[in-house]
Amino acid sequence: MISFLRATALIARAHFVRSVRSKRGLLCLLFALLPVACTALIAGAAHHASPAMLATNFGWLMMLQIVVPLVALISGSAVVAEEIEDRTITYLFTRPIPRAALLFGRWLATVVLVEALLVLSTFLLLLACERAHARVGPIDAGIRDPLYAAVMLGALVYTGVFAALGAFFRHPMLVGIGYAFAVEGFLANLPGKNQSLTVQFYLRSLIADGGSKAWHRLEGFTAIAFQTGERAEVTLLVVLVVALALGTWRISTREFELTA
Amino acid sequence: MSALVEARSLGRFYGDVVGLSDVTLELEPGIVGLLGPNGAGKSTFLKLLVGELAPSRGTIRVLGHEPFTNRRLFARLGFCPQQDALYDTMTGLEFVTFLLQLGGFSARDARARAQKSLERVDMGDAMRRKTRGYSKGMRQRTKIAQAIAHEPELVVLDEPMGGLDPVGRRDVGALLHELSRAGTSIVVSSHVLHEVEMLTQEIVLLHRGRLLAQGSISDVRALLSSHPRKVAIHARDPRRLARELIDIGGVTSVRLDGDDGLLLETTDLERLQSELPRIASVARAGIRSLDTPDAGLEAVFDYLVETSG
Amino acid sequence: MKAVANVEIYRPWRGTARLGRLRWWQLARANIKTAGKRKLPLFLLLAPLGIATVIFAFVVYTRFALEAGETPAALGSAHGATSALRTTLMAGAAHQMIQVRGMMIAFNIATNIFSLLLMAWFGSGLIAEDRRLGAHLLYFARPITKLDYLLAKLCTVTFYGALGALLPGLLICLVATFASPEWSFLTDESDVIFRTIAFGCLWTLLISSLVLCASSLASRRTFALIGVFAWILMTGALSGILAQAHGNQDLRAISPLFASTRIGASLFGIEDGAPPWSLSWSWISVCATIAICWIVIAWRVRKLEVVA
Repeated sequence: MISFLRATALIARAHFVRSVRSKRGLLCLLFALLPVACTALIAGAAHHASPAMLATNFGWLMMLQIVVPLVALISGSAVVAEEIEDRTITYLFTRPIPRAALLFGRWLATVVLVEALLVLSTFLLLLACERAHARVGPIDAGIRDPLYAAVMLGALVYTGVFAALGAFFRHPMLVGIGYAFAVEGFLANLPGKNQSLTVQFYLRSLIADGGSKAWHRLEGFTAIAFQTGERAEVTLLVVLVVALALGTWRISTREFELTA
Repeated sequence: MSALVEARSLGRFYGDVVGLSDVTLELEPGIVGLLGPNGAGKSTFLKLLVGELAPSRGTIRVLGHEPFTNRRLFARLGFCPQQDALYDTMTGLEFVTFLLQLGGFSARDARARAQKSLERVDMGDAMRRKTRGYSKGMRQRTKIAQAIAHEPELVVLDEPMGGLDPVGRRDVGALLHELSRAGTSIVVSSHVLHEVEMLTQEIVLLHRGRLLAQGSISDVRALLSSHPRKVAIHARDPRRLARELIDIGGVTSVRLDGDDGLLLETTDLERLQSELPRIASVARAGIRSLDTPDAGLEAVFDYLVETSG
Repeated sequence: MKAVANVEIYRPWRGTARLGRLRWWQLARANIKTAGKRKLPLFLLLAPLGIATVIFAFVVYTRFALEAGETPAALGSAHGATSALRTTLMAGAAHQMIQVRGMMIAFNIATNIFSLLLMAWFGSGLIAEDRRLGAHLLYFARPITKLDYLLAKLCTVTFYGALGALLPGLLICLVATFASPEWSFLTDESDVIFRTIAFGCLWTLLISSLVLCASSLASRRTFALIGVFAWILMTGALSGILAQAHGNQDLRAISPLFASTRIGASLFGIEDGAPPWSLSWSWISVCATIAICWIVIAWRVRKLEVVA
């Protein structure tokens, strides 16, 4: 019998190659580059905008709130669901491999791809911000570093959550859309303690904890009682572990009914 | 010899829909044909057999193991599913190699086996092309190749002839015979009766989720005593022959069929066969040919399905 | 070989073909019926709207009840002279604080996300799934024109849009009509009904156009759903950033969501508390969005017919 790690590595490699060449991968690339294009356009035209102002606004409103969940949703929800939709899951489930290797292998490949896309997107976005019309200097580390950290951790956690949804639901993307927009989009922006029920809150906490004063100029930023960075990191990792553990349990016990 | 597959009161429900109900059977090694019209429960049975689904009721054991999520069993099993699904971004060779690697073979070994297996199903020329460009027949062959590449003890094929041209069907039939001779057991499902008849005499017949019959085709036919056997005779003088035959015990009807044909039904075929030479010589009817048109699988199938309503 | 024709099967048809009128309606009806079979999403999406309608309707009823000198049972019963004074004071306060037109705009803002969800859910698969399953080949093999097809799809999505954006508003108006003393709502504020209908229609048309546009571009229903939400959220975020970067609040009108909120405020005659971006830009933004969506839809549907 093949070991879990070897099966995971084999599936991860195969899925990575498949994802890179897929329409889904292209869609993720488009969404990842959209804020870059917007930033480049605005940076060239906006006379009142400083690089720091553009970077914090685009990083906060576009990258963290929209692009990271969206790209993670598109690719994360395909982790299990794509095999079901394509009806190829039968080949993997009739091989002597642990079923969890399917979830972990494909999730790993997805994480690598999503991280690469989003880091590239963030890098280009910051580059575009630095070329703003009313240039006052390069983007400082207090903006750059927390944004990278939040984007990377966000991608990791969101893909894990959406991958786990795929083990539970027949149409994880539909459920994921509901979650991404109703919980992460709506609840995260409501005032009060409700925000702490969202991943967004902890990603924002990371920025609030390690970020420079430039972030404080964002609308409503100072009104929120954020967590400390360390606590936010731990919470996010716990969310990831719990999601993957639940996904593993479900995929190991669930029957997948395919139609011919 | 122990049974290859043992099912006891096996049932599988999809919500309110009955996929399979109370099936008890034992399959012996060799080639077994799983028959039934569309929606009979063949695919459900095979999915239970390869552990893709768990039984709602009863038990199933394959090679002595319960199949659902049983990795020990999967190493000894090859499955060719019905759905026309392959990894479209891979070549045929990459696809089979990948699945073999998941079966525990080293990269080199897996590639060699994959190549051999694809050549066996006549995919040698196309195996380095992307599967998205394959024809239906080529996809079917690739699916069969992945099912047999690791030389499993039991190969389960769900409608393997679908999409194949007549030559392809013949080749796959020959391949399955070859595998069977080499000691591999095969369970093959189909609703095309002559395909199964070409492969094996051992059948399992399902209809509306229930087990209708099991055994060799001739044995199953013999069990259908309520249905008179049809006998078609071609003779120089069928009218005279008909007059003589009507008096034989067991003959229930005699009908002229064209100028030289005679179609009769009997409940005692053995008696008819023993008395026919004598009657033919007395009547000087000049018998040219004799055939039992309903001894084949199709007739057996029709009778059983008809009987079960 | 002797040729045989199966004339008993392929017998020629004799008669006169007669095209029925309103062919698109048959298709629309079938689509509405099919979508309505998904009971759980329908229930989940309509439930918040239903709850909001009950709450707002109760508030409106309370206003008119207090105005009429009655205290609704839910607010506690009134007895004696002190209570009469309290009722009078409450009636005055209610009259000042609870304006039906204000309630209607508040209701629309509070619930437009749900009507958006309703339209997106039931509309996103209308064209995308047809193309994926090849259903359009069947439609265009029949005497259904491109216009029939589009009308049917629009009718389907606007039906669910009307359920979410129009019907609740009209129900609240109905409550106001019957609760108002001597039909004062009808005589004094009947314009609110027409304004409710106008805003409901505009919102439904805007979101229907967006949903159908995404559906015509996407290969799957889920991608279309993502497209709709991505568009709404991204334009919202972008307009906010642009407004801040340029120091010009009018740029918020780029977002169809913000633009329609501004139009809504204007339609209901609320100018004091209206959002600070320009009304004319809001109209331009909404009309341009609708026009662009329909150009894309027409182009994509035309391609569908070519394939067929």
